[in-house]
Amino acid sequence: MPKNDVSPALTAEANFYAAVVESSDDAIIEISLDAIIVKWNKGAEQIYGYTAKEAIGQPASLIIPKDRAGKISKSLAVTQKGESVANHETQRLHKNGKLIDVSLRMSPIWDASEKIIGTATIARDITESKKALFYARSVIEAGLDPMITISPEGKVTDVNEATVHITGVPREKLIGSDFMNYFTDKEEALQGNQQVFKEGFIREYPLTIRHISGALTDVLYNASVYKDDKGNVFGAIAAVRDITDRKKVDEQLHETSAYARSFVEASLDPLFIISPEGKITGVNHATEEITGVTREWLIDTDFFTYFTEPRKARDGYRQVLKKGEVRDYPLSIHHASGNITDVSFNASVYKDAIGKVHGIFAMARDVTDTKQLSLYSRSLIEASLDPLITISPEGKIMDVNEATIRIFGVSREKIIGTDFLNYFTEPQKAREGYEQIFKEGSIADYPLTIKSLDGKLTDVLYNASVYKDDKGNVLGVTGVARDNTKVKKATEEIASTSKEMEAFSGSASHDLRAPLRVIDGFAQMLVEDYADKLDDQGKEIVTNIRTSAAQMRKLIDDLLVFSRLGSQEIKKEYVAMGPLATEVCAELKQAVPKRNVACTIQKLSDSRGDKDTLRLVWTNLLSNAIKYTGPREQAVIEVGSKDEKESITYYVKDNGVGFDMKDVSKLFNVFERLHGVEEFEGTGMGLANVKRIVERHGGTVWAEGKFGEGATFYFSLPKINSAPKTGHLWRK
Amino acid sequence: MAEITLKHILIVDDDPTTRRLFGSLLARAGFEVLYGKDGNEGREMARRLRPDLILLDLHMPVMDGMETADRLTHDPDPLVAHIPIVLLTSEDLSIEAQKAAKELGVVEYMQKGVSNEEFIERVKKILETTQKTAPSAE
Repeated sequence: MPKNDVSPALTAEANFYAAVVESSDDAIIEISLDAIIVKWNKGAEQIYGYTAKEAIGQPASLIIPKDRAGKISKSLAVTQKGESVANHETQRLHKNGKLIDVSLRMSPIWDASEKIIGTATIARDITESKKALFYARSVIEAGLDPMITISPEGKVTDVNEATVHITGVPREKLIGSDFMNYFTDKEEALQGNQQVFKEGFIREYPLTIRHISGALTDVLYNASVYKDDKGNVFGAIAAVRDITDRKKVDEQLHETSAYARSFVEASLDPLFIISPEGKITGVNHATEEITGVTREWLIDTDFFTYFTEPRKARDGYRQVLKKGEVRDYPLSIHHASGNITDVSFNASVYKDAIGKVHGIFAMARDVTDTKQLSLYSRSLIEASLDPLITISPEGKIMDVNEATIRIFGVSREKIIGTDFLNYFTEPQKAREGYEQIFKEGSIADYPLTIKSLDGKLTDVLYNASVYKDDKGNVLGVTGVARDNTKVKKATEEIASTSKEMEAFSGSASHDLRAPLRVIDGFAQMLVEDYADKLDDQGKEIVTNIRTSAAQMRKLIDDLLVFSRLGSQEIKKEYVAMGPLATEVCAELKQAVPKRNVACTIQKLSDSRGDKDTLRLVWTNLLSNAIKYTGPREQAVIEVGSKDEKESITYYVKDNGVGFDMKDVSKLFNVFERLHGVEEFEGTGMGLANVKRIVERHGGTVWAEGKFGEGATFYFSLPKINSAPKTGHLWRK
Repeated sequence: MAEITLKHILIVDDDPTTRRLFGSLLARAGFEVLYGKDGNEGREMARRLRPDLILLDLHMPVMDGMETADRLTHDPDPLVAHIPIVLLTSEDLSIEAQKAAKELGVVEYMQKGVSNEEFIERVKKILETTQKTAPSAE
C-alpha cells in the first residue's frame, strides 16, 4: 500500500483492519526487515506482557527464547523472501520470564510497490489448551482400564498405559494406527465406532482385544464423542472394560475423574451417587433407563422419590451411612411409565483421602428375573406337604413353607432370620446334623424332634442337602422334614407288643413244660412197665410220643431263652473264647460218638460279655455244624477269629450241606428252617437265638454258604476296649 | 434202710397230672406216696402223717412253694419242722431264689424236667443223706 497516495476509501479500509487487529485476542505484531518490532496490538500486550510502548522499537528477540533465536532468523528470512510460515506450535518468552505456548503463523508484508517491508506474526496463546491436553492425558493415564481416543477417521490419537498393556503394542505404534486392528473382529469394531460417531455414544459393546502375543481379553466397549464448545466432533474417547476382572470397583469409583465417569457409565447396573443429604449427584445410563428419567432431571433430586417405598429406601440409606455398607437390600424402582422393577441394592459410603464421607455409591441390580425364579422356587417350596426349610451357611433360616409354620407354631416373619437350632429339643444334635450336611453334602433320615411354640413335640426325619451357585459356592441348605411321629408311635407299639409277647412266651413256656414233662414221664413208664403188653407197633407209637415231646421241650427251652434274651441284662464279664469254644465242641462231639467230627479251633481273641449266653452261641453254631455235616463221612469244622478295627469277628466253618445264598436272609429268623425236620431235626430257634444274643452284645451275625458245599457262620462282638453299642432296637 | 419201713413221700403240687407222674414213679420205686393239692393241704398232711420227705411245687396258687416251705420249717412241732423239703421247679432258679430257699431250710431244688431215672435216684440220695441227721420218727 503506497503511503503517500491515501484515498479516503483506502483510509477507511485501513482503519477497519486496524480495528480488527486491535480487537483480536491473538498477538499480532509486525517486525521490520532489520528485526525490530514496529507494531504491537492489544492481544500482544495480553500474551507477552509488554505494552506497545515497551515493545515497539525493541528487537524481535525480546520475546524469543534464547534457544530459538536461530530458528526465528530462518523463519524471518523465509518471510522476507515472500513466503509464509504455516501455523505451528512454538514457545515465546513472556515479560515475566516464563515460556508460553503459542500457535504461530508468519507472513510477509508488502508495500504498494510489491516490496517486502517486514513480517507479520500472529500468535495464539495455547498454554491453557495445552494444560487441558495434559490434564486429559493424565486422566486417561489415571484410568486402570484401557482408554483410547479415536479420530473421526478411526485412527488412534491417544492411548493410556493400560491400552499398551492390553494390546502389547507400544504407544508410538498405537498412535496413528487404525483402532480396529486391535480387535479380533475388525468389522464389529468398525461398526461400533461408526455408531459412536453417528449417535454420540456406545455402551457395553462387547469386543475382544487381541494382544500381540495372541492372548484374548473380552471387553465391554464404552465410548462417547468429544466436541468443542461449538459442538464440532473432534473424536471419540473410548474406555474398554476388561470383563474378566471386575475388581477394584470401589476405589475407582471414589475418583472424581473423567475415568470414574466412564466407569459409572460402563456399568450395566443402574448406579446412583448420592450425597450425604440424600440428593442424587450422579447416575449412569442404566439409571436413566430404569427410572425413565433423564440425567438432567435426576441430578439434585431426592434419591428416595424413585422407589415404591420411599421410607424403606430412606432406611436403607441410613443403614449405609451407619454401617458403611448394605448388601442385597431389596427395593422397587418406579419407572416414569409406571412400570416397577425389583432391584437389589449394594451400597457403600465413599470417602475422600482424609476419610470424610462424600456420599454413597449405590448399585442396583435388576432382580426381576431372580425374583420370578424365587417366586417359582417359593411355589415349589409351598407345594411340599412336608415341612421344608432353607438355611443359610450361618445357620439362619432363610425360608420356610406353610407346613413348617404349622409344625413350628410360629409365624413366617418370626421364623425367617432366626437360628434353626432353636426349634429342636436337642439343639446340639441338630447342629451336628447341620455340620454333617456341610461335610458330606447331604444327610438322610436324620432323626430330630421339633418343639413347637406351644410345646408340642414332633418327631421328624430330616433329609437335607446343600445348594450351590454355578461356581460351586455353598449358598445354603434345603431340608425337608418328614413327620415321623406316626412311624415312631407304631414302632413303640411294636416294641411294647413285642415285650408283651416275650413275657407271654416266657410264662407260656413254663406252663407248657410241666404237662410235657408228664406226657414224657408217663410215656416212658408205659414203655418200661408195659413192654410185655405192647406189641412192636405199640412200642413205636410210644417212642413217637416221646420224640415229639423231646422236640417240643427243646422248642420251649429255646423260646424261653429267646424271650429271656429280650429282657435279661447282659453281663459284661471277661470271656476266654478259646477255652469256651473248645469245651462246647468237646461236649457236642461226645453226644455223637458214632460220628467222625474234626473240630479245629484256631487261636481265638477273647471277648467281654455274658458267658452263659455266649456259650449258647457256640453251642448253637457248633451243633448246627455237626448236624449239617451229618451226611459227610468226615465232618470238618473250623473255628477262628479275626480282629477288626473295633470288633472281633468269630466264625464257624463247616463242610456240610450248606445253603443257597438266596435264603441267607431267612437263616436267622425265628422258627425259620431251610431243611425239613425229617432231614435235620431242630426247632428253627437256634440261629434266631444266636442273632439275639450277639445283637444284645452289640455285635452282628451273618453267614455265607453254597448249596452242597458247606457254610460259614460269622458273628462279631465289640472289642474289649471299645465302647459297646446299643445292639437292641427297642432298648436304649 | 429196711424193707419193711417204707419211706413216705408227700408230693404237694396243684397240677394233678404232675402229682400223678411223680407219684407213679415213686410208687414204682417202692415208696409210699402221699398227695397234697396245695400249700395248706400239704401242711395239714405233713403235720398229721409226718412223711420222710416233702416234694413241694414252687408255683402254686394261694400259697406258693416258698411260703409253704417257710411255714413247714418253722412249724412248732420239731418233727414236722425237720422233715426235709425238696422244691420242684419247672425252670432254673436264680441264685437269689436258691439262697432264699436254702435259708428257709429247703434241702435242694429239682427241675421237673429231669428224667425219670434221675428223679428217683436223686430222691433216694436225698433220703440217705437226711436220714443220718433227721431225728427218728419213732
